[in-house]
Amino acid sequence: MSPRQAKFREAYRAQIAPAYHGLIHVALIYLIGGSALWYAAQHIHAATPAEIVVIPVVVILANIFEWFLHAKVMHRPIAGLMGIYNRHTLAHHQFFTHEAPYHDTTRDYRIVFFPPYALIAFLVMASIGGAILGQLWSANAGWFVVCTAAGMYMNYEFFHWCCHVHDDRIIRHIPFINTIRRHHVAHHNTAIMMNRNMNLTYPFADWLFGTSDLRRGLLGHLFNGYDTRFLREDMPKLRGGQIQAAAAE
Amino acid sequence: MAITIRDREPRKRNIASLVGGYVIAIGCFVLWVLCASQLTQWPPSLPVLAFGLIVAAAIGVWIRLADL
Repeated sequence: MSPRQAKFREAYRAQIAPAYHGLIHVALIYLIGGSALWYAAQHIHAATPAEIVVIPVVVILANIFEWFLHAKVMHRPIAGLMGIYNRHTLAHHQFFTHEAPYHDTTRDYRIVFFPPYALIAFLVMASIGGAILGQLWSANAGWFVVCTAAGMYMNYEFFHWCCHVHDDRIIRHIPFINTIRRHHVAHHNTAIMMNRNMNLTYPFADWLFGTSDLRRGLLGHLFNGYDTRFLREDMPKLRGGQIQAAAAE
Repeated sequence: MAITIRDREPRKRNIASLVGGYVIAIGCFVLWVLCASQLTQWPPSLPVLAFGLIVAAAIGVWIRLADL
């Protein structure tokens, strides 16, 4: 870890409020998300195949939304949304670099997980979409939207935590998680962080919009794991070749 | 790209945690009422609502104190 990163971590940790507790933070996210998912699921009855198709459609839309939010809001200084840019680009990316991408204690969850009100905002958006779909077509479809959106949010937070956890003895063998771990650690290289590897769950939108650091097809992207054979060769370099080394550690 | 390193400063709570505290408290209370109505009856009884209010307020206050 560079002295600069170590200094930033020390300063950031000193500013975390004493009342903060990482496990409460995580518990809140999963209690709220889980409750919303459970409540919405209680309203689904005798779903038809057409209504069930809403699930993969919402998964894809959520994936694109995640890409958009990360690429166009979290990494762009936009008036009125500077708090998000500061928290992500200026704090999260200094706390975690591709050379030292792992957290040390549960208090570091403060900078790993989103604040819980982001989930509330996401659930409100999904509920509005679900209500509209419910009115226009089918109540089951509307509830599927809420269920899937809540599930995707919790999926996002879990995968992101997996990217920043030290011990990968188990997760390095789990499909999708090993893929996103290499993908996201590479994103923390400051040479490419502004425009590459913006997905945090499944690198579908990165493949779709050509913003991945890999040169391979969709299935190859999704099941790439830690494989570094398909890295693009036209990527900006910073302290050459260390993306792969850090991801493979 | 300019990246700044924050020096150690006196701890000061962010306005976002104040707004977030209210948002979370309201959101949690709404969820509580919805889930309680699903598990018991609509509308939930007064004690259930009162307990939900206390839980939601406690979560909102924690968000503010934790400066989340």
